[in-house]
Amino acid sequence: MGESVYFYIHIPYCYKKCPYCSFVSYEKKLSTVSDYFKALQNEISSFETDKTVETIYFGGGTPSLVNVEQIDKIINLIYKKFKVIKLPEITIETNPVDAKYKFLKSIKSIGINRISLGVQSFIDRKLRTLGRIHNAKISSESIKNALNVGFDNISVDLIYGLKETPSEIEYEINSANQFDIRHISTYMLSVEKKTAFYEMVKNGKIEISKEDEVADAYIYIAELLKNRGFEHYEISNFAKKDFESRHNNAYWLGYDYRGFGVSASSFVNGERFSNTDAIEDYIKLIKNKKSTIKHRENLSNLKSMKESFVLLMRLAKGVDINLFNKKYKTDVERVYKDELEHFIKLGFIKKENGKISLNGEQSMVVSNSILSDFV
Amino acid sequence: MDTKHIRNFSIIAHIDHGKSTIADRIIENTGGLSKREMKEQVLDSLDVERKHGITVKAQTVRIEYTHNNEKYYLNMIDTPGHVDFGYEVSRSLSACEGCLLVVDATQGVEAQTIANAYLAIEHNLEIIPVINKIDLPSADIEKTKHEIEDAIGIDTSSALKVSAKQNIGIDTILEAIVKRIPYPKGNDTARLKALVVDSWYDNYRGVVFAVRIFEGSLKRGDKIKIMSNGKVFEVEELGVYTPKQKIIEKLDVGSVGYVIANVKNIKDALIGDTITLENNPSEEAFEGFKKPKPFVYAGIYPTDTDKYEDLKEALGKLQLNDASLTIEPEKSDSLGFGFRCGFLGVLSMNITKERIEDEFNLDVVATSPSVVYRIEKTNSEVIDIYNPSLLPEPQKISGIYEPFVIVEIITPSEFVGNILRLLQDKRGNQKNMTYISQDRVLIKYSIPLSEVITDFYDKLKSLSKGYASFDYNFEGFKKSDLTKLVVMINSKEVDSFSMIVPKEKAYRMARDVLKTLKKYIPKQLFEVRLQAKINGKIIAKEQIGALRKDVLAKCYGGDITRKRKLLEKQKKGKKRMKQIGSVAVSKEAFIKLIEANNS
Repeated sequence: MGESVYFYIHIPYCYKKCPYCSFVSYEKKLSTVSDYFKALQNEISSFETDKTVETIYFGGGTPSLVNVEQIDKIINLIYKKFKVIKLPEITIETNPVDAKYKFLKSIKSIGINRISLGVQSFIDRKLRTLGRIHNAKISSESIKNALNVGFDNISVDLIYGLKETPSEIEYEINSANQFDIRHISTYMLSVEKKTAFYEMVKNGKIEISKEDEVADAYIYIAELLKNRGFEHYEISNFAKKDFESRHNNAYWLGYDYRGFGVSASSFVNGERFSNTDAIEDYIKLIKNKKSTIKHRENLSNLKSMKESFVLLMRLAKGVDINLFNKKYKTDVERVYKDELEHFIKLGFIKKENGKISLNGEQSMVVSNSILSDFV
Repeated sequence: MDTKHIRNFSIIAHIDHGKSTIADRIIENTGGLSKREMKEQVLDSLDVERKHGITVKAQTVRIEYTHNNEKYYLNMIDTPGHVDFGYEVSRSLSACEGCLLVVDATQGVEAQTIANAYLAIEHNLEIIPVINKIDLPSADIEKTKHEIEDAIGIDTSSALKVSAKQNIGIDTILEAIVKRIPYPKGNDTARLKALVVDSWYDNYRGVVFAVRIFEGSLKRGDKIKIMSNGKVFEVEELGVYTPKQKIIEKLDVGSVGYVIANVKNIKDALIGDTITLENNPSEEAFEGFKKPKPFVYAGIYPTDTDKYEDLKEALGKLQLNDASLTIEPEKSDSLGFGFRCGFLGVLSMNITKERIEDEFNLDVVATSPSVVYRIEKTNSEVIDIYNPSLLPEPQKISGIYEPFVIVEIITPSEFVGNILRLLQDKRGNQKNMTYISQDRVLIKYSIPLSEVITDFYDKLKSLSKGYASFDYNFEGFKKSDLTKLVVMINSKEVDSFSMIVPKEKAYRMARDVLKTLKKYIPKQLFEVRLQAKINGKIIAKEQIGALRKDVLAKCYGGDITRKRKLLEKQKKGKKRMKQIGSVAVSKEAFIKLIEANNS
């Protein structure tokens, strides 16, 4: 797939920073929006490639809070400057409070064909604890609206790890599944240092699930979704047939992707690089026609082979031995002889039909302990 | 110089009573070094100490001192200051005619003061009591004098009162050395008889050794013979430290200096050995020479099993400078190939381990230290074992003997109760208890060495709020009621966790050991069962549940680098673990086990 490239556009603005969020986003810098979009356009314009753009993904932050015209300009620029495939996947992450009929209509009109709703939960208790600005009713309505506007590729984010009972988990899944959605991403709440949540948990203001409870929830969610026709295609992603996220798959499959905007990461021609984390720096650097790249990394063949193995293993279908050996001119079963023997014996990795993969949810939920032997 | 103008002395003191400050003042006041040089000298030696740990012991220093218009050479022979080095102290003292017994006037007599003073008495030395730190407000000179008289039994009417820090009374010390310490006897023309008082390995010159000439004299080019093994070497260089190194042509009878003679192995110039001339040898060697004998043994293994050869090389290099370090290759079922090493004491063990890690950059695991056990078998064969896992089957044993030591503890009387309880718990037998002053007590116990080598000192310090001091001496092997405690991980015996324990404590120790292991074995992908048994009977159990969750859910905007780095970090963490079968054990487990053992 050397001819394709996948675009990510980072929109670092939020109404209100979620107390558990450790990503780069700003709630009080809306005054910089127009400068930021100018900078984004500059960065996009100065990128040269003859590869075909497969997907465009607007992520954040909260991309839905900026003016649709700004998004439109970016899409137009991309169409003008690059070859774009006939049916690209163009996704925007949307806060449920923004998912009103009018907004959805206009983003559909500018060519966005996939919507990722940051629903997180259908339970008010959880939404409050998470500090979200929407309630359960808005969660449901946002999906309804998107369907009404005619989106047929809707993804919903769900979060868990807040002491849910099994029936609460079932309620979350059923609440999402009552609608004709095609994709669900489920995330364990992870409490990162330097977030407000970290302090709250430490001070006992919030109770989060214990290791065993989270693991049980993970396995239970997968069971419920699989019973409802979703395929568990990646550690934290579920999709109906043919609705896997093309964009996210590019990360795992090792395709070229280019991230634009503050803190965005790219992987182009075997090189990984990422932009500065500070929005002011980003804008200033672009203005001064300087590079925004803060980290750059060229991997040796061996390292990129190992990295690729670990990334592919996140997918349920795992590593296709023949394809992998051909791509990296290697013998993967020899390179990882001891590791594979060890984990196959323990039942955490399986090898069937020429593929090596994690052996089901029991194994996915401890994947770090397994995959860290392969990097 | 004739022997009438030579004095040989040591300074003995409890740790921190001011021995090195007094030594520095003596050098400074006699002009051996200027103030500026003094500072450099001190810094230098600190650097060396830091770099070489305990093996570089302060050298012998020759001081020039003029008294009543006559020039004297005062040879100061330093003694190591840790309880593990009793033998070295005794050799240093036997090279002297007298010593300064330094006692801190704010602390009084401590355990090491007594142990060292007894050694000095044994060697018939003239003892000059020196009461130091008299400038401090809490100094109690009279009480200190009483303690010296009561605990050691020497007259203190002519004790010197000094403050090394304030440079008060240093001149009285120098004068007393000349007036009170006898000059060395000996005949310059007799057959050479010199005592090795110290030796160390120099990377450029090979082994350097300090000697005291008792009979005859030694000059450059002489062929010397090491009396313990008959080996012959040619003297390349002779000299003294003033403390600057000064090369001289000849060492006369009664004097002290260093010798370089192309000796490559430190075992050819052991402390306490006798040196004579090849062509005109002395008839007999000095009494009391002992090859250094390790008291404490532990297995040292590379964490990464591929590093065995590197570890071997590192230990070999350390052995150059540490005559007491013994190394035997051994294989453990759980840890692979490594070495059973013998050390003078736990201090030497820890220093050796640190040096391997710091100087040779090798990650190692040390098993719980153990003593030598003497096993009497039913077929009346007697064997010594250095590794608890090698204890024969119980039905083949008719008796197990373990080394005992005599510990001497001095403590303020209010802590006596605590300390006696500790000593009882450590299977001690009281030998003696006396008040050395109104509120300070000298306690003598016979206790198994195995009880001393772990946390005894720490416990003693905490039970006495830091006031108790202690010293110990080897007593001999005694029969004890011991058994082997075997630890199993997932039903497999782990030989490196085996330990020999007193039967009366076996249950408690088994529980402690498993609790410790549980704490330091991270959750694995499968359940881990820990068991402890004695004589085939399980006496304690613990269980470590399987790891349930370890996953990176979100990968935002393709930040693969961060993800990979997290996994790489995790991998690195795993590498620092020791793999025992399929179970990864944190290296801390081995260290903490040492603490749990004997607690």
